[in-house]
Amino acid sequence: MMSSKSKPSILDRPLSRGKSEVSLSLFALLFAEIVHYTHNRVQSVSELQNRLSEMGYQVGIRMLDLIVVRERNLKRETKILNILLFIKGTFWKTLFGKEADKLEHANDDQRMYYIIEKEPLVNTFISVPKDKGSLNCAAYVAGMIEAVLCGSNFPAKVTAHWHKGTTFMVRFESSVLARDAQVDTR
Amino acid sequence: MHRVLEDPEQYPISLKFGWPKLSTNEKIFLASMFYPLFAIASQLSPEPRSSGIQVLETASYQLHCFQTLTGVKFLAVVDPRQTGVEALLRRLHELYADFALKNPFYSLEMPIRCELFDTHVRSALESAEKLGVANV
Amino acid sequence: MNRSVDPKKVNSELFTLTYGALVVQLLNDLESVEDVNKHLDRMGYNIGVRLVEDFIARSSADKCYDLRETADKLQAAFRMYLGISPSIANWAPAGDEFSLMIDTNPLTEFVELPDTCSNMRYSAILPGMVRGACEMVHLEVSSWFVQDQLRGDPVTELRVKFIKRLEDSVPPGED
Repeated sequence: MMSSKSKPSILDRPLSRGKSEVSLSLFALLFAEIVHYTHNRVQSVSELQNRLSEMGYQVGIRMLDLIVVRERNLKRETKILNILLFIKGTFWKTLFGKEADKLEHANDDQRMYYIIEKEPLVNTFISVPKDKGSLNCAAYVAGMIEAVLCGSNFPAKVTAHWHKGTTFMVRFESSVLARDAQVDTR
Repeated sequence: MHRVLEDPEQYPISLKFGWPKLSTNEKIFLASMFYPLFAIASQLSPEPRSSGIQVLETASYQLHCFQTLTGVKFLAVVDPRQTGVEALLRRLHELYADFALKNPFYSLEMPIRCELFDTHVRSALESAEKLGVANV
Repeated sequence: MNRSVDPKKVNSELFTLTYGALVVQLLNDLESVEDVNKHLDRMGYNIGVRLVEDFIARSSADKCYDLRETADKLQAAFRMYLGISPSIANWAPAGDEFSLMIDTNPLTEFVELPDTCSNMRYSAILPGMVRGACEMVHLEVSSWFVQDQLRGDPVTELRVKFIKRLEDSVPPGED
C-alpha cells in the first residue's frame, strides 16, 4: 500500500524568511570540493574560471529572485548606478554578511565598473598555487554578479581579477548605456 | 596513516637560534624518525592507554608534540623558557584545519605549501613569542 | 585556555543554492543519476574527512568510547555546521545502529525532484560526510537514507551502522 504516498508540492510550502545560517567551515569545504572537482575536468585556468562563473550564475539568479520577492516588494532597479549599488549593498550583505568594499567607475571606459572586495568570502581559505597565478576562484562570485545584472535586464560580462584584493570587472553592453541615458533625459 | 608530514611547517621557531633552515626533505626525515620514538614512548608506559611523547627536554631546547584524535602531530622546538606552547600547537591545529584542509589545491598527507597557511603560522608564532617572553 | 569557537557563519541559502548548482553540474557532466549519487557520496566523504579535523580543533571533542557517544558527537556536529538539531532514534537492539532524524534539511530547502531523477539521492553528501568523518577517528561505519522528505516521507532519516574499529589506523598513544 505504498503507492498512494503522494509527494507534497514545494509550492505549498511557504517561502522561508532566509535568516538561517550554516558554518563557514562547511561552506568552504563544499566550495573546495567544487573547485577540486571542476579543476579535474578542465584543461586551463580560464576554463576553470568560466565553469565556476557559470555555477555562480545559477546561484545569483535565484538569490536575485529571493531578495526581490522578500525585500523589494517585487521591484527591480532600472538605473545602472542603482543596480550596482544594490549589488554592492543589499545583495552582498545578504550573501556575505557585509557590503562590498568599493564601487568605482572606470575613467577611460564608460561601460566599465569595478566592484572591489578585499577578501571575498569564497577565497577565505584558498591559497592559489604559483603555477596557476592568475586564477581567482571568486570567478564564482563574478558569475553571481553577472546573473543579477542580466536577470535585471542589464546585460553585462563580469570577471574576477587580483587587484586591490579582488576586483570584479563589470562591462555593460552598450545598449545598456544608451538606455540609461534615455531614462535620464525623460 | 603516517601523517607526520604535517609538521615540517612547525619548525620556524628554530630561526630564533639562527639555525640553517632545513629543507623539506630533511624535515620529513626528522619527523619520520620522531614517529617511532613517539610510538615507543606510548608502549613503554606501565599504565595502559598512555599518550606518546608530549614534551622532550634537553639542556638547550624543548620539543613539544601535540597529536590530534585523527593522528596528525604538531611539533614545536622551543626555548625551555617559552610558555604557552600547548596553546600554540592547538592554534596550529586550527590553522591546519582551515588553511590547508579547506584549500582545494592542498592534497592530504602532502607537505603544506599554502601561502595563507604560512602567513597565519608566522603570525601565530610571533604572538606566541611575545606572550612567552612577557610571561617569563 | 580560550579556544576560538568558530563564530563564522554564512547565509544558509548561499550554501543551499551552491549545493544545488553542484548537483545540476554533476547531472550535466555525468552519464547517469546513479553516477551523480556516487559522486555526491564521494564528495561528502572528502568533506567529512576534513571537517572532522575542524570539529576536533574547535569543539575540544574528546575520544568516544561507545557508539552512543559517537551519535552525540554527530548530533553536535549537525548543530555546529548545519544549524539543525536532528534527534537520535531507532537504536538497533544490538546497539550498533541508530538514526539521525532530520526535520528540516537545509540542502533541500528549494528542491523538488523531477520524475527523471526519481532515483536520485539528492542529499547523498550527508551520509558521505558521516562516513568520512568517522573513518578519520578510526570507526568504519556505513550510512544511508531510510526516509527522505524529498520522496514524500514525513521526516528525513539518516541511518548510521557501526561496522568495525579500524585498529590499524589508530595512532599510537590514542588507543
